[in-house]
Amino acid sequence: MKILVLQLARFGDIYATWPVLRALKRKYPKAKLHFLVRRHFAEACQGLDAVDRVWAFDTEAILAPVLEESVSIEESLKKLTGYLEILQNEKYDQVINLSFSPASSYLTHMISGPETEIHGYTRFDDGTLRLPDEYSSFFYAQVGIGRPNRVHVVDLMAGVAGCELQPGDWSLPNNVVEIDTPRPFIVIHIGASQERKSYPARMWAKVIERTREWWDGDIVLVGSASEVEKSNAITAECGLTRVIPLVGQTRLPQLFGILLRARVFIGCDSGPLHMASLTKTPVLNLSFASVNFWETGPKSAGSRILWAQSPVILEPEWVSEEAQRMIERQPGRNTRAEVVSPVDFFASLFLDDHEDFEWDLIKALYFGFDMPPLRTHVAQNAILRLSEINNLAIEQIKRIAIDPKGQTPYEILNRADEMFHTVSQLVPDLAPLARWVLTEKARVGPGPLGEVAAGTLAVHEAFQSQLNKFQIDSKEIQL
Amino acid sequence: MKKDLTPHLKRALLKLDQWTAQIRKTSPLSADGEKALLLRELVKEQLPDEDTRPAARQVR
Repeated sequence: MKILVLQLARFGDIYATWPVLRALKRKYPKAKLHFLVRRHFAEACQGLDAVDRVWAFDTEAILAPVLEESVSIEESLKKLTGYLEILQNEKYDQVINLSFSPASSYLTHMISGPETEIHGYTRFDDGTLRLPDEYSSFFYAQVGIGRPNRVHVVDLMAGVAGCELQPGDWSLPNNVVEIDTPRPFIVIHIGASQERKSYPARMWAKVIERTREWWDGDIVLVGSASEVEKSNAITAECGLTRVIPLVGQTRLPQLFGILLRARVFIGCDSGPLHMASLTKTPVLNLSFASVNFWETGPKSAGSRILWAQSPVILEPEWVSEEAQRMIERQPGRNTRAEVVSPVDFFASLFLDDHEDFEWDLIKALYFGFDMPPLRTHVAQNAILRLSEINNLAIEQIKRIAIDPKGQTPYEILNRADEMFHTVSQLVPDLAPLARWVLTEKARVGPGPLGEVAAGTLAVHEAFQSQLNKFQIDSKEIQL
Repeated sequence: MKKDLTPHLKRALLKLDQWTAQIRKTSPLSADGEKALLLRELVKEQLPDEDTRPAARQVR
């Protein structure tokens, strides 16, 4: 058996995929497991012994001709064809797409043959997006910044791949360069994958100044070559006493060695954060509204999340104090959440006592939990309206079977979708519900009219079952 | 400093939009048509502000 796994995102996503690859290897010990990543990030596959072959997809080489003055589309297509033919000739039995992007969905479809078992985003033959499994559907409908999802992306990737994670799946690469230092140290990653997710230099300097008041060990600064200027700005402000600036000086195997010995890793959303999950280093994750930490936060047990709307309002004193509390094994004071365990889907979720209707709604829609009580009359009214629209849609789909040429049912069905969308905007609490039904409808895909109508009808009926689970006090609702 | 490719990417995206306009209306897609759409997505995702979430309801 030959399996290809695609991960076309960045360093952090590749490291987050490692546990899934190990779980896949355990599930299919005799299979040849191939891994496709972008050439630019292929270094993040070094030391990964779960895969038999790494393919480097060279986006930069493919795009070079279209970025020339002449915009040579033909030349780029020729290069793309070359890559596709190599992968098509491998004749994979399974293609598992763990990137959730349009490009990866086309690529998955084109690499796969008629007999290939596909997991993850792909395309129907007419080019529309195809979500072949429940986890892809969940990702499409509920995952993203600003959405209430709390299922971690690693767990979703394992679901897409059809495998179960174990704690040992988070483990080191086989090429770690171990370091030998006499003094304990804390690691600070000064950067992030994007500037808006990053903590400012002057505030890092204050964190360091404050930390030196209670910490006798060293503070190691890490980051990429592009962050050297920021590192210099930090050390210019706080000085070099017990600070070891290694920004731009470490290759990935050395960075693994540093993380392995660190007492705590402090950092924002970034590749090293996911590396720290593999070294099982406790992470103090500084998280902001530009990230959903539930989805992409640390996985190492004991990690904590410090959250603020934006970086500039997260006090350096809080960061330093929380690091101290982690090292001294005291309960968190300002933490938003804490990692209990990397595995077990729900049990692995962070502790958090915030009431969250939308998250409870997601749990009810996808995982069999009870439907949460509606908190407002507006929401109750919206459920009644959705129910009316949905029943009308069901009637109209049944009319399609009688009169396939009539236009009215199609118009009403389109309007129903618009109404679902509108209700979710007017009553944001119910947005997960609207996204659920619209995504399930999109999964029906193209085909003969009868099949499409039957598939669509099944979705609307399932939607009605969901709506019927809400308890509504109709006496109190003004109809 | 890394060269800013944004103007080149935007120009390429414009030409690919024109190139793929007809392809999007054909069903089923030809292999060449699908490749062109993939190329367009590869260009799009290099642009910093492009929304790269796939649209399911929108045909291609």
